[in-house]
Amino acid sequence: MHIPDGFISPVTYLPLWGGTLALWYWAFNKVTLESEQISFLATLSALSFVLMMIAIPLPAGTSAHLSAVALISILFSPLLAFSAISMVLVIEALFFGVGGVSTVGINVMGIAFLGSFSAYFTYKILKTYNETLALFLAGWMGMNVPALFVALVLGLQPLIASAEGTPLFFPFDIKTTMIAVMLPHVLLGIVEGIITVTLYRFLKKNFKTVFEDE
Amino acid sequence: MNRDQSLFLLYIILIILFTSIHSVEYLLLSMVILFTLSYKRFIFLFKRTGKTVWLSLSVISLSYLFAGFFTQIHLPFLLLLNIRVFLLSFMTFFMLENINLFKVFSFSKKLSSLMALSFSQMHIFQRTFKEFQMGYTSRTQKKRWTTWLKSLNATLLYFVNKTLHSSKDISLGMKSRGFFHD
Repeated sequence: MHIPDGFISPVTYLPLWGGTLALWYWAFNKVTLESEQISFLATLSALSFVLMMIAIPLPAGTSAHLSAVALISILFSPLLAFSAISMVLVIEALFFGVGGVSTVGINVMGIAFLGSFSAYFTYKILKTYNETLALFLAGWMGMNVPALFVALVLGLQPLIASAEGTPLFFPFDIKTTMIAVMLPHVLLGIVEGIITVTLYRFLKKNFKTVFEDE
Repeated sequence: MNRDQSLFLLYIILIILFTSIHSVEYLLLSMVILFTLSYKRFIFLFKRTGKTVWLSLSVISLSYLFAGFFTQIHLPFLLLLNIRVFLLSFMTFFMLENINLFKVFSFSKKLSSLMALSFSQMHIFQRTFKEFQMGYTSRTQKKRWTTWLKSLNATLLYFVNKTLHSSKDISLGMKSRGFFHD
């Protein structure tokens, strides 16, 4: 879902970079960075990175990557999930050249912030009614809210940046991006939801340390 | 400001500049300059950039060409988009070869140590994960969803455990070396 460099106009990515910097400032003021938090955030980033590498086998020999945003968010708090996933996205962009540097703000805002918090609050609100449904929908939201954000940002480009009807960046309108981005994610979200339920239940049964604070 | 920070700042300015220029000629000229600067590393960087951008560029370009059957399209735009995306990616890989990013973030001891630790842990976790994948592939002849989920459970258990233990280990190590005084 990462947007590479060159598809988004500066009018879009610069304000979103500003918004992301403000969010980081807020998050790093909340998470006091002392030795224990630094090492935990580093290993949590590595865990998020590995979970995102997991390929979900799909029919016809295809596969898609797990997002794991909901799982990390529910297990460790949305703030820590936001910080760790942000770190992954920044390192991927800067050190591995995966995803754009200009679009880091968009990727962080969508995947790390909107994904983590929407998944967490979906789980929190629905948990008292039905935990399985809450986990499933959290997984679905963790994948679909960032996808919706990315579809909006991409689809707005012809409106924001074009010269005499000629697009200058991403060329497809919002109707097209909604169908192209959201349709596969709505379906993938179902798989992500099932995996979130399965993994959460397995951890709760076999790894109680993580749930001690609950 | 050290050398790496200055070069990184230049890189950021160039990204903004290249996304603000919509002239194919200027972008091509910038690309030629960058290719020349990369000198001996040109072929490696060119291949690496190609591998990274070909999929997204092909999908967008072919979809745009396909849209041309139903609506009016602007072919010069495709050239602009392809050149810009390639140029920016090439520049990123060129920057990675020439800048020490850890020195860029050295203005904050906590931020640079967080960066360095995250980067190294990601490498360690990635290596172990690949071993898990190889183990799963060699053990299973017929891949089923249920066996995959079982292996995923085991993988997750291992990595969550590793996350908590490594975090404590690193923290104790940093404290014992006087890295933090908390």
